[in-house]
Formats: sequence, C-alpha cells, structure tokens
Amino acid sequence: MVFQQSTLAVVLFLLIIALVVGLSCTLIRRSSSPAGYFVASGGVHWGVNGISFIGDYLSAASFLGVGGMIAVVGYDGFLYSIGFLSGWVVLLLLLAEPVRRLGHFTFTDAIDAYFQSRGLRLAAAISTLVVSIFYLIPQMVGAGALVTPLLGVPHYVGVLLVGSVVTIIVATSGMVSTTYVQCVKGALLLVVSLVLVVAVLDRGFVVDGDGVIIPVVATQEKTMSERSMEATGALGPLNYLQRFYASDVYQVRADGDHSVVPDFTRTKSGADILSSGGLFNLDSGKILDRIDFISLMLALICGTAALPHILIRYYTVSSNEAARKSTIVAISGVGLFYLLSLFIGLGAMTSGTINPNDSNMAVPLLAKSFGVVFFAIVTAIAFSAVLGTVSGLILAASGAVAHDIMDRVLGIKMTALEKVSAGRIAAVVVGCVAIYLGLVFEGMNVSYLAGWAFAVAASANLPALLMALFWRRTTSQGVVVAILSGLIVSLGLILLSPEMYMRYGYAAAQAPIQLNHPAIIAMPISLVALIVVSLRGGRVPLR
Amino acid sequence: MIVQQYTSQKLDLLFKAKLQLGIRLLLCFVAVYALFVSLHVYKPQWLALPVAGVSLGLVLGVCLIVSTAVMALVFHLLSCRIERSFADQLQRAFTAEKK
Repeated sequence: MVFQQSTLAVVLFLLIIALVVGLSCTLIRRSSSPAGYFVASGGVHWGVNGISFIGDYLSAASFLGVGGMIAVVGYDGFLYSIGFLSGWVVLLLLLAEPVRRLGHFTFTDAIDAYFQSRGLRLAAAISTLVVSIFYLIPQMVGAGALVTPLLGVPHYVGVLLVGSVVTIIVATSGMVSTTYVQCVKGALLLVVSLVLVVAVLDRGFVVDGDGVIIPVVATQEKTMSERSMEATGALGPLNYLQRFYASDVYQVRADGDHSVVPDFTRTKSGADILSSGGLFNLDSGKILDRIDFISLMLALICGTAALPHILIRYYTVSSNEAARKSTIVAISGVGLFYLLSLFIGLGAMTSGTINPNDSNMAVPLLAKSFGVVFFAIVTAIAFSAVLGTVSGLILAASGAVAHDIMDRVLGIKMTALEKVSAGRIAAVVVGCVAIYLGLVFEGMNVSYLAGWAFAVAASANLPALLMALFWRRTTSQGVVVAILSGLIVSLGLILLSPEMYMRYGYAAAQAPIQLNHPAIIAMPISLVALIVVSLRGGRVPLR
Repeated sequence: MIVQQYTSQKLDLLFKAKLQLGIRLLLCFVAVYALFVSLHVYKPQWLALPVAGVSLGLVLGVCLIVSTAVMALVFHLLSCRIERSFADQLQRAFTAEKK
C-alpha cells in the first residue's frame, strides 16, 4: 500500500532529521565520559527533564495507537490511556527517589545496590534488554506506519529510515542529545495535539436529517449529495462529547485498501461507543475475558514503573526534589495528552479518517483531512515522537550491555572512552534488532503491542525492584529468580496467546491459554518465587 | 562526628517518612483504580449510565486522569514540608554542635 506523497511533508521530514542529527553531532563532545553518555552527567534541569519524560513516554503507542484505537473501538481505547497514566503514580510515590538515590547509570544499578551480585546484574541487564526490545517493536511498527503516507514509501523503508536515524542519534551523543530531542518532541507533541483537538472541535460533526453523525469530513459532503447533510459547526469540548453521546453514528465499510466510506445501513449509538464493549468483551460472562482485562489493566499500572528507559531519566537530575518536580511535569503533560487523545480519536472516527487495514493510521489521516500542511506538520512531529522514544530505549539497552554486562558482569577493564565506544556499538546492534522486529510485526496496533511490553516489564522488573528496595529479607538469589521467572513466564504466555496464534496462521481458539495479557499470572509467580527463594536462605545484605 | 552520625540517621528517617507518605497515597490511588477496573468487570452497565450528558465511565476516567496529577502535586507539597522540617532539625543540631 503506497500513498501519494507531498513535497511539503518530505521537506518537513528531512528538516526534522537534519535537526536531530545536527543536534546530536553538536552535542557529541558532551558525551565523551560514561556519565555524560549514559546520564548527561546528572545536570539536566527538572523542567527539561519533565518535558523529556513526556517525550520519552509519549511514544508511537500513545500518539498513534491510543488515538487510533479510540477511533476504531471507542471508549475501550481510552482505558489504555488511563492505565498508561496511572503507572506514573506508582513511579512517583514509590520508586523515583529510591531509584535516584541508589543508582548511577542503569536500572540494574538500583536493583543491585544492596547486593553487589554478578548474577543479579546479568539477570537485570537481560531483563532491560528484553523489555527495551519488546517496547521497541511498537515504536518501529509505528514508524513504518507514519513514514508510509508521509513519503509515499513502503512500510519497510520507513522502518529502515527511523532505525538508521535513531541509531545515529544514540550512537553519537547518547543521553545529552536524547534528552534534548525528547524535550523538543514532548513540547511539540503537546502543542500539535492541542491544535488538532481545536481543529476537531471547530469542525464539529456532519449529521443527516435524522441527526445521525455521518463519518465524513465536510468537504466530502458534495460527493454524497443524495443525502441531506448539515454541519453542526464548532462545538465546545463538553458539548462535543454530549452531542456524540446523544447521537447515533453511521458505521463505516472499507473502500479500497486505505479508506472507508459510511455504511448507511448500519448505525451505532454514541452511548454504546462511549461505553465499554468495543474491544473488551466484559458483558459476555466469560471469566477468561474478565481475567484478560484485569491482567491488561494490572500490566499498564505496574509496567510504567518498571520501564528501564523511564527509570534512567531519574539519574539525569541533580536532586530528589528535581526528580519529583520533573515527574509532576511529566504526569501533567501525559495526562493532558491522553485527554486530548480522546477528542482526536473521536474526531478521526466521525471524520471517517480510518485505514481499514491499519488502525495506527487514524491520527495522521485525521490531520490529512485538515489539509496537507497540517498533515505534514503532524506526521513530521509524530515521526519525532518515534525518534525520541526509540532513542531512549536504545540508550537504556546500550547501557545494559556496556555498563552492566561488559563492565560489571564480565569485568572487562575499559577506559572511560572505551566504555562509551562499547555503548555506541551496542546501540548500533540494538538498532538493527529493532529494525528487524519492526518489519516482522507490521500492521499490529501499536498500543496493543505496547501492552505486551508493559506486561513483560511489570512481571520481570517490578516485583524484583520493589522487593529488592523495600523487603529486608530479600536475597540476590531471590531477585534473580524473580526476574527470570517473570521474564520467562510472561514471554511464554505471550508466545502461546491467541493473538500470537493468529500471527502464526492458526485459529485463536487453538491457543493453549486463552489469555492475551500475561501480567496477572506472571507477576504473582515472580513475586512468590522471590519470597520462597529468599526465605530458603542466602546472604541477606546490610542496609 | 556525632553530627555526621546524626545527619545520616536523620536522612534515613527522612527517606522513611517520605516513603510512608508515598505508600499511604499510593494505597488510596490503587483503591480508586481497582474500583474503576472492578466496575468494568462486574458492573459494566453502571458505567454506561448517563452522567452530565456522557457515560459514567467516561466521567470516572477523566476524573482518574485529573486525580493522578492532583495526587502527584499533593505528594510533592507534603514531601517538601517533611524535608523542610528535617532541615530545620538538622540546622538546630549544627547550631548546638557549634556552641
């Protein structure tokens, strides 16, 4: 599927690439030491760090996935936003200060602070790598989805482009350039989302004589002149939601490969769309559907606090107060973004800007319905959104390889410069892996994929991190077992899930375990394993 | 030396005090989140009820998002208060040591 390209979009896209690569090359001198490369020497201002948190966190999964999911399934997509955001509370209230106090460069530093165990370091580094790579998948899939309509190139070219640019950013100046790329991206993303919502509210709805919302943009009215239509005009935020809730909406059907048209034989009430049921089948009475939903919401609230690329941002500020303040900035920004996503998703739904083959395309297509200039700006910024998050993830993974595995586990003696070089080489390798996975998972909703990454992080990292920091009887063996069991069980359940069975070419019903989200099983197993192994003996560290 | 030991003990106490505050607030938030999820699982029809012209689920969801930011701000303000109180105690200890 290849779209028609716009010159302006290409120019903006190239401008963004030139900007971030130029920034990385300019800042290369500030990353010649390991502290500079991995944590920007701990000298980032809390305000900058807060916005960088937003840029780091609001990935393709949020910008494309949540908006796209709301556009396709309605309210159930909004539940992802709530889960994603709630995890920040766990992070701030429990982990921000201890992690900052005990760590230096990586997530592994904090978890190993009391133990000084090689085995633990290796397990935590492997977990960091797996979680980062898992979270890279939705970013790369989102990158391909974005670049396709932007440049008129196939998905694989988009993935290759993003992977290459991000690898250059990280391999040149590490956390310093990553921070500034994320900061600029976070601010731009909020501004563009706000403008997009204003445009959606200004457009209002197109309704027929019976008041049923027709999912078309006003400019398409002429092509559908057989029906009487009128535009509601601009609406306020609450009016928009109330009007939507009180109206029926015509459903859409595919019209070719990448567009939809209204299906005037089917309607769905706004009240139904703004209620649960579009994605989660909780009314079915099936216990497994309920468990799957609880498992997803558990993974989302616990996952954020266990994402290594988010945790390492706490090492980039100079004090606990700065860490808290930057988290508050992040929570406010991310919360605002998710509220805006609700309107963006509903706007895409009622404008009929949905790609039947790829729900990730709803937001860029919505922007396109406002004109090619807006589309070019939105897509270029969404592209920077992918860049920011992917660079954070690759940096976390390269830290796990160079600092945790090569230096602390294998004991390879390296000068500061060699350690930075090792980090850069690791970044290139992880970038290549990310490109490959981005090609394999083409077409899957990126929020859905992110849900898996959160489940793996919540299962492998969170029980181990919490117990290592706060339970005095925890032993290093217990932490290692918790990380590995969480990792193996969550990955195993994902590979055996109905969704993966469909990707293998089998029927979903053939999957041995009818759960798509593993956290509800993997997290308790990880926790129990830690407690049992710790209680069986081993050296309990002094605190 | 005594002041250093005192400072170290105080820092540990400060850390514990903020952690306890964090745990209390987190328990409140988790209870609200769990209630929100439970309503979806066991009483989805309640969440479809109209409130202020939209569904109750949507209203609760927006409230949960706003409460996340409020919770973060409350934690920060209370933590600052605790830190100021500990800083005052340390200052008094230093002054006494000098005398």
